Amino acid sequence: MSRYPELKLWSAVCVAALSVALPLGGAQAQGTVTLTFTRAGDSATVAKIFDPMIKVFEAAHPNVKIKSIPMGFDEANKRFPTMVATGTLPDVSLPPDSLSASLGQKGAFLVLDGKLSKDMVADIPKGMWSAPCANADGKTIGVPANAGALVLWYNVNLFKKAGLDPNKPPKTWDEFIADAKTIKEKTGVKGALGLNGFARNDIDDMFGATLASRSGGQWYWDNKTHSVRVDKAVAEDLDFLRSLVAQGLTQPNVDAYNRADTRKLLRDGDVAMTFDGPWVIGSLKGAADPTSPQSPYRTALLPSTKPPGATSLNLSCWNVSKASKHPDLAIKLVEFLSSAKNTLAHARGYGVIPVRTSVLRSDAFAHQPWNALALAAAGDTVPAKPGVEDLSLVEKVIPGMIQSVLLGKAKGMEALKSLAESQGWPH
Amino acid sequence: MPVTAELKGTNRPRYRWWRRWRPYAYILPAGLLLFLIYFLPMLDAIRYSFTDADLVAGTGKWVGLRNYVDLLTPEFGWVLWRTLLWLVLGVGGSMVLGVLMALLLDKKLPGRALFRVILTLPWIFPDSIAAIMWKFTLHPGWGLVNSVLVSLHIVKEPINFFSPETALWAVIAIRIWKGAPFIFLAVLAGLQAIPREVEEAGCIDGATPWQRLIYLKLPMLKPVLWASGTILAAWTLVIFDLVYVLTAGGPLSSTEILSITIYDAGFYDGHVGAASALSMVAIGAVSVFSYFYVRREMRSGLA
Repeated sequence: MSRYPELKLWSAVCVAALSVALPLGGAQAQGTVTLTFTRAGDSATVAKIFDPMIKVFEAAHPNVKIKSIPMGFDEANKRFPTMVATGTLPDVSLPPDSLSASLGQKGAFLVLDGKLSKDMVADIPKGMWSAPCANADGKTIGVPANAGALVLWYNVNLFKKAGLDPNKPPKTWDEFIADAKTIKEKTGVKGALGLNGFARNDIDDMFGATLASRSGGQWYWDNKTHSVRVDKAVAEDLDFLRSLVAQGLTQPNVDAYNRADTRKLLRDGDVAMTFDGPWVIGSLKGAADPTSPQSPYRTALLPSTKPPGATSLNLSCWNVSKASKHPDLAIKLVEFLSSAKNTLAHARGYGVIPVRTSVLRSDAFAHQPWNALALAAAGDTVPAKPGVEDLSLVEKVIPGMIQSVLLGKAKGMEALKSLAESQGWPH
Repeated sequence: MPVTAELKGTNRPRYRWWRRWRPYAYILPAGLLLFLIYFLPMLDAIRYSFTDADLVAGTGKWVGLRNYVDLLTPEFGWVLWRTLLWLVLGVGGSMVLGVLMALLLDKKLPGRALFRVILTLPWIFPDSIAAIMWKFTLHPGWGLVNSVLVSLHIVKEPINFFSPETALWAVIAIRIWKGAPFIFLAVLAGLQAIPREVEEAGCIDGATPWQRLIYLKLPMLKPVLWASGTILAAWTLVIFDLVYVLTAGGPLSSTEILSITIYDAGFYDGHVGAASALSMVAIGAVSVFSYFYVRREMRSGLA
């Protein structure tokens, strides 16, 4: 008799279990493909918009299962680099724009040139395809998914209180300054303009938009030298923003306010104007529905040196992981998510500007506050942030440079030169 | 077998060997586990600190001391200076406030138990929650502190507590608020362990309350203060989320301490090599505190 009868019994059970399970598992692996998907942002909103879309895609592709991985923006900034390093990046993802650009520069995404449908490519404004999240070194690495163009948001009631015509928002920067002074004098608000001076990424957007509308569509990143532009125009535009702070036309202590804070100032009537994107809509809904014709909040194109001017565009893209085991299916999913119908659902559900021209020009975006946002997105735009490998450059170093000028610690040119020297850039 | 015979048997050479090494054999599994969990990642971090490892690009070439040499910049000097201020003032302030709180609540006061609970609350708050709370409370636009100061006409305009000139002091003050309850609890326990007879003897000898504090209580509290202060210093040095949520190291890098620099290098830049080199600096500093703490504990016979 054997000395270990229990061991033999267990071995037999294990072998039997394995012989049943392995073919079954193999059959599942052969039959069903799982794609991972992440749209960074508020998880509840993302689920509400994308769960129905995913169900439709799965129904059309019975052998495909989509696994959605919820992730907030900050979490994505932390987790995505690690996911790239470990080869677990979602097959299809929409990361925060600067993260997308940074990972794209490092070759984390699949090159999509020649793999996308011509109809879809033609329906998205050409300029958007050169945005950092869609393009790295001339190669297409992402499909534009949604946009946030910066426009002038203003409070109708405060315009009226100051004796200004709310139907004639300022078109030029001279008009803007004149109106701002009048508002400040006659309404007693904290500031005519709510300016976000907190040194994190959204200060880049604000300065990029100001520069685009004042100096004609150029941004401060030089793709040839991979460094900031150290020139008179950039320096003057930095000094211009500082002059708004120094004249008391903005709220005091600008460095304590990020963009969410300036939205609050606009909502509460503490400032009459601010430069912001479609995200304001969500912040205002508690106070008054900004899409209603009676809404006290309206949008207009940014003031410009030569109206209509340019603005900066935050663009988020669908990216496909270079490590994806099913790249063709992943591209199919991206095309599906980018269809006109789904683009519209994404834009309306999340409060962003759609990227497809056919949707942008539809009736849904022809009224306040969407009209100016849609017009700005389709017009002359520059990327809000540069496509650089080092995320801290966009999230911290360049914001710090802009903030130092806003606080009067350095003149525009000094700050630019000092930044270039600290980074070893030619200037 | 008689007991004496059994003991006799263990004196044979092969048993002597076993008796000598048996304790080590018993602690070997735990030691291996400790090595795997604590030391292996640390050794890996040391290795990374000599490479150009990039989280995303996946590079990892040997670069010698370059990551350490790159730290020799005036900017990093300022980071170290701010970290030193953060550490010395944060720990020092926590200790002074914690001791004062403990001395006050060692007395029989009405509502003493309630005060003890209230004073320990800041310690219970997670750092990030405490940071958000203080960010709102001190905000120049809608913060409670400014509202009170302005409405009582103490100041004309709201104060920006997080301006480049004041932000470091503000975060240190919040660190003190957060760290003092730990010292308070430790010192209170220490005070209650001091025999009443000691204080009574002091009273009989005519010592004033101040003299009793300086010459009797504080010397007897020295081990408690030393241990709690060392632990608090090691914690303070590696705090990240409190400062990050409050100021993200700004404005104008005025609150950028070592932990923030490590985070930015590792997560924003993806430069694992540089971040590992910075971590070695932090580990070195924490090791100094750990060394003194362990040495003292060993001398006092507790370890």
